[in-house]
Amino acid sequence: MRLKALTTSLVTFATGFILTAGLAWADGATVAQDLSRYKEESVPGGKLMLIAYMVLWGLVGAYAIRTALRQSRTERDLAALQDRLDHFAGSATPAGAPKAEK
Amino acid sequence: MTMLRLTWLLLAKDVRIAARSREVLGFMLLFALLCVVVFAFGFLREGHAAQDQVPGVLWVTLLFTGTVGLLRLFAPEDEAGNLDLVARTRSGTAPLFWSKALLQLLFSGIVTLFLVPIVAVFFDTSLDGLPWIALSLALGLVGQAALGTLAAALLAQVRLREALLPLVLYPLLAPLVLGGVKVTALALTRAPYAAFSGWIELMLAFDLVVVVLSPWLFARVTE
Amino acid sequence: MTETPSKLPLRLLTGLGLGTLLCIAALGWVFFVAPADENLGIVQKIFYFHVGSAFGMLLCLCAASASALIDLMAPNETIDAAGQACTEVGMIFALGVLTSGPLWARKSWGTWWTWEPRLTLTLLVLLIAIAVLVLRSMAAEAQTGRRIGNALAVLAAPVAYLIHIAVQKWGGTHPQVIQGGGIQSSDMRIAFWGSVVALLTLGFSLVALRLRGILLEQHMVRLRLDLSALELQRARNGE
Repeated sequence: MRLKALTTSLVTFATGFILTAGLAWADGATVAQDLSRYKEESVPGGKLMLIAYMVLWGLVGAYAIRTALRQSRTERDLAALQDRLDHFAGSATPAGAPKAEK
Repeated sequence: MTMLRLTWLLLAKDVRIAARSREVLGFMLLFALLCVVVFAFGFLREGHAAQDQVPGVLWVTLLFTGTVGLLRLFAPEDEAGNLDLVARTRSGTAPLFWSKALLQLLFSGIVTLFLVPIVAVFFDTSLDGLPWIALSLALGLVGQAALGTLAAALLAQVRLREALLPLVLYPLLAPLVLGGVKVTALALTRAPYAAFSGWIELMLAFDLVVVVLSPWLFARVTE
Repeated sequence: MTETPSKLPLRLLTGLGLGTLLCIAALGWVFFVAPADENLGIVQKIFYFHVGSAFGMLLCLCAASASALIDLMAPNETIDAAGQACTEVGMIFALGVLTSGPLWARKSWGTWWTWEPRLTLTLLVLLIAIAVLVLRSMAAEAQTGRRIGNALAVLAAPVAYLIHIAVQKWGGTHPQVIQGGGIQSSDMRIAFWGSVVALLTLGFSLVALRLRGILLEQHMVRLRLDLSALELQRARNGE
């Protein structure tokens, strides 16, 4: 099941990559901005850069932590649910109840 | 019963309902008027409304007013609770989609006919290049009606749909609004067609995409 | 369920760890090896991860649209979950682009925000991604949410391309983008592609992590249904 999920995400990601590559190619693949004509030294660039990186990593980190926490909670609930189901299954197994497929 | 006839019947039913209650269209006209007045206040300069804001006022008012109409588009079926029944005709969901899109087009067309002179008077503009403005308005209304009908259908089964319709609709309609504003602004200054032909083509492409995709997605959503 | 609760599978942990390590390495290269930009100075170092996030965003949202189409044509819960995970991660990347973009623009263009085509496109695409996620969560039933979210995601792809064209035409008078400028040395090029690869690895692991979470949640819904069916059956038998 997990392998299937990983394969699916890989395939999905690859599709996205091909699509993106196609779009970028059609668009002329501009990657960088022309910076040469702007020379202005009054703005504190270092601070801006620091903020940018902090926000970016904050976002990614917060998302990863939130997802992981939510997942561990789901797993706990799942285990409790499975216990109850097993408890039930001792007395009567209903037809067509799918076994946990992990 | 053929698809066209079914579409016509559904449209006629909706028009009859609208004619009897006169709620939706009347409210749309009133809302359009209010929008223009509020915009005129917003852009007042030394007692005169700013002429160069006319394209923006026109298109944003149409966008807002269209939203008001779309929120009530599926109301008759919603209140009767038979949306899935109407959708399940022998010709599929297409008659329902097209009758609703045409109804929205009809309403917003009437609003536009009312709105353009009002804006011209309130903002003291002479309507130069009216044919081109009319063309851009027609393209804009068609795209808005097709995409809007789909959006209204998507939101039919969703909570807080009044708040969510703009979220779904406005970002997607950006090409139409940008194009419409640009064409109107250029046509008002009597620019030649070549100056804005690209925008007209873009709006046409947008209309083609939504006219093809929206009924197809509508069929997938209302099953 | 062989694993103990609240423990991630090794594959996922490896992916996340690899992504993080690559990001740290890329950051090290960006800050200690790559030279500062001749004109802009240190602020140009935003560029590496800014563009990397933009790549990640585009990739994730294209994948989300593609999987939405697949799921509409041939319903498949795993594909649908992958699409949802991609939409979420794409949204995170878009937020990253939209915060680092203005910070960089403040320095290089002297203004926090310009309606520059790429920035405008990113903003609108972010709004559409949010709309998809909100529609999903606001629907009365999960299956309805899935259908309408996917319908919107499918429509979003061609419309986003038209938005791209429109904002290019609209913002056409701005100080613009030329092909391949900006990168001035091979160290910069390594920093750039290194950052892109690192961010994409991290993004892929995040998608996989989220995908696993969604699949677990779906599994839990099924188990709940089973349990209530069992309870109903027992109540009937007890009578």
